[in-house]
Amino acid sequence: MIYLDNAATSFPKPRSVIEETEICIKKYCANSGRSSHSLAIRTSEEIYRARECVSDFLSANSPENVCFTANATYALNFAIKGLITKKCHVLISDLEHNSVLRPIHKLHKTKGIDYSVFSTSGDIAENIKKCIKPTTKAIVSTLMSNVSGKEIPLEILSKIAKKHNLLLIVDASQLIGHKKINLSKNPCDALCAPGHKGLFGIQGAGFLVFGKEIPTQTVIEGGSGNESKNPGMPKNLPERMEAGTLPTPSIVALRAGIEYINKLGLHYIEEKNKMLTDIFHESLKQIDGIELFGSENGIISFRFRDKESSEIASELDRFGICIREGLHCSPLAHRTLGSYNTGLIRVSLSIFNKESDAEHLVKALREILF
Amino acid sequence: MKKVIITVSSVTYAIKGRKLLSKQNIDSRIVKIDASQSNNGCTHGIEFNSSLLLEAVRILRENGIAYSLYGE
Repeated sequence: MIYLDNAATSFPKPRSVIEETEICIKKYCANSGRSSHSLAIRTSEEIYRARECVSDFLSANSPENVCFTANATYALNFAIKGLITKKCHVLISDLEHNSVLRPIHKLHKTKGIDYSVFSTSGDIAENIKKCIKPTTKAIVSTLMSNVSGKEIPLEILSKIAKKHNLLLIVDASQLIGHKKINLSKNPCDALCAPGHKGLFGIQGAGFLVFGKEIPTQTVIEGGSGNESKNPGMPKNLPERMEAGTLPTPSIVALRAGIEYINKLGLHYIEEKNKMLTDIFHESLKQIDGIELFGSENGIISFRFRDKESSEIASELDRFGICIREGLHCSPLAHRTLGSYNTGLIRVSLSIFNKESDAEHLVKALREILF
Repeated sequence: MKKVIITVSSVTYAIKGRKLLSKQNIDSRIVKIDASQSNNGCTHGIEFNSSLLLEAVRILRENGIAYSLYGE
């Protein structure tokens, strides 16, 4: 099997992630912050260790501002609905995933929030500035498209947000684990990410890292293990945003995944991703009738004139090749790219892919098409 | 040896506090504070040698950790 769907979820996982998760489940997986026994305390310590790991990885210097969620979608909902609480104008990019677009659209429908879409073609900074109005209060943006791989530099977003006194919420779902993110140099009000993509964790945990603002609104309320007599959620992070039992094995896996990346080095990962992306791009462009839509940061998307993407995806599966076709939950990105009516076939790589995977993909495509 | 407990707002801050104290060679352990002993309900605290109280609270204060003495 050749797995080329790492933007959906990374596969396989490093051995150390599997082993650490197994140890957690077998040896200490109690409920953090609830009971007083030693197993519960140990679990709490492992959760804190994961907070420190995330904070250090992002140069955030604040483990207590790392809040764990079920995934990046939950993180984005908590950040957007927790920080954008009054009627205002918000900017989003033209490459956003539905995990940004849908909560923003919900706020538009229910709270009268107005939003504009800035272009990511050409000079992004100028495009954003042109969209800013007197009522603009926030920018919510992906750092990398899950369809084209195009990057929106955090440095640009952070500078503009600071200059115009805007909230900045970023979706790091695709970029994290591929390139360095430094929140000390380029601060934002909330960074949201999943554990199971570029960080090589397992499904079930994501996180958001808050800057200086503590969310005024909470989205989910429930047991937090502390301040139980208070009918509202605790005032302080992280417990304010963590109602209910945490997904401990997934959080441990996330921490193990980051440690794996630290051992390899982000620089190595970035170089390997670039090398593989170039090889896949060069191999695919030789196929007659292919239309390539983006080849960056380990993501290559394309379509063919005379055959539907869904048909090709199904045929590739018979060859043991896993890709994702369709709109990738990013209709906005597909409108921007001009593929809204057809969708695209997306290949998304990880460091576990090999150069020969490109040959196999091209061979399979040629057999399917000709 | 007489012990003292400092109450903090959550288990997260109890662990943070314990790590900070440990860096300054103050041994401590994390304890659960009974709901009857706290205005807000269940929380966690840090237990350590009472002779190190002044030093411990200085460390917590310098690192922005809000606390109260158990029983206050």
